[in-house]
Amino acid sequence: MKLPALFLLLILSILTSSTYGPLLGSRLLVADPAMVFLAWVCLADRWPRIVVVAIGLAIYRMSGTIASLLEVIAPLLVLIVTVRLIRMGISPYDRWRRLGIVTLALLAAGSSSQWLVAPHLGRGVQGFFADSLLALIVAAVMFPLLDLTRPMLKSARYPQ
Amino acid sequence: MKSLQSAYWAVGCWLVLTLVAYGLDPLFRSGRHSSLEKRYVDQIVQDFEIQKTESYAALTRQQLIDRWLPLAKNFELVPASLTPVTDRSPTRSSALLDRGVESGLRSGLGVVSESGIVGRITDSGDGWSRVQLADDAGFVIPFVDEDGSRGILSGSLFSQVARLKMRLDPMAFSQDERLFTDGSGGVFPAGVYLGAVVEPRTPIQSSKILLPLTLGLSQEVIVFLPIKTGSSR
Repeated sequence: MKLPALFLLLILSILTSSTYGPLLGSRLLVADPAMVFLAWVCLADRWPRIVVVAIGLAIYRMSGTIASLLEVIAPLLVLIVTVRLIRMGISPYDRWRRLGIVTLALLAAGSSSQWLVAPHLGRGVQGFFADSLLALIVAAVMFPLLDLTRPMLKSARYPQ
Repeated sequence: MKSLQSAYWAVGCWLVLTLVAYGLDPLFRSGRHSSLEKRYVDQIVQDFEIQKTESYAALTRQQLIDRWLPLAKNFELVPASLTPVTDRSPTRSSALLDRGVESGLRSGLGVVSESGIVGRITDSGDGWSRVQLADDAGFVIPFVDEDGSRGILSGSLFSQVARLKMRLDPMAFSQDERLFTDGSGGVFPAGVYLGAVVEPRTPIQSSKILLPLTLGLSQEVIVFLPIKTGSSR
């Protein structure tokens, strides 16, 4: 396992998340670059790497927040489970289909996070489509960049 | 080998893009300063500037105490300095205080500024307390409107915006109607300004309520410490 490369990418994604956080505001719920990275790892990588990235992300989010442990862990678990379930039926190697998988997973993770804190704050149909579009855009921007870094993680089972 | 070079180039470009955005960060955060930035500023200013700042802060604190004292009959007022922080959870909004358990601060106490509500303390330590700001999605507080109708207000997913969570009495909002605390719960005294209805809508739960605009800024605040029965003020 190329763990140093994985840690480097994890730190970069967390740095991107904290830098663009103030710009995205609460939209970070569905368009967090660190969550997009976790989803990308979940698509076609091995469980130990997924666990390493999820733990790294959970530790980062747990420090410096008033959120409970459940609020931090639940969206990560929802994201992982959603991606792994959908990829059983839809190929994660197709560049368009995998964007669909990740967008759905990001929306599910964001909804679970919001539901845990404030279930009464609905975002409506318009908000749902805006969230979907934003999640799709962030994933579409990050995936080509992440794909270029694949050789650094060459033990992963990515298609060449 | 070529693909590995491309990978390193990609990582380098990613890092540069992030660092550029980090440099532009002050544009996104207008007015929000991290505790680290504040500490850095404190280190570089001259003695004269520090003295000036301290005398100004003392004056502000005295003005704050004078303002809130008539309302807070059953509370001891503890002045503190609030520093907003970027909470790492996207649904949360929090800040730090420069006082903690040594001043008697603990979880659950109410915090106000000159403009009105700020939030509630969620955690305290020696020399620090973490405050859940009023625009945090999980923040709830009972309120009373100008007609005397009561309800429960909650924070939202947007900065400085609150929503009606529940009506306790029949109520209808009007444009620019002001909301205040009703004094129940023992956290805030009655009459603390919560916000104004800027967009009354139907259903009433989707009305937009604007919280005090200074909510996310570094400022002097007052913490309401309930007086224990039998103790002198």
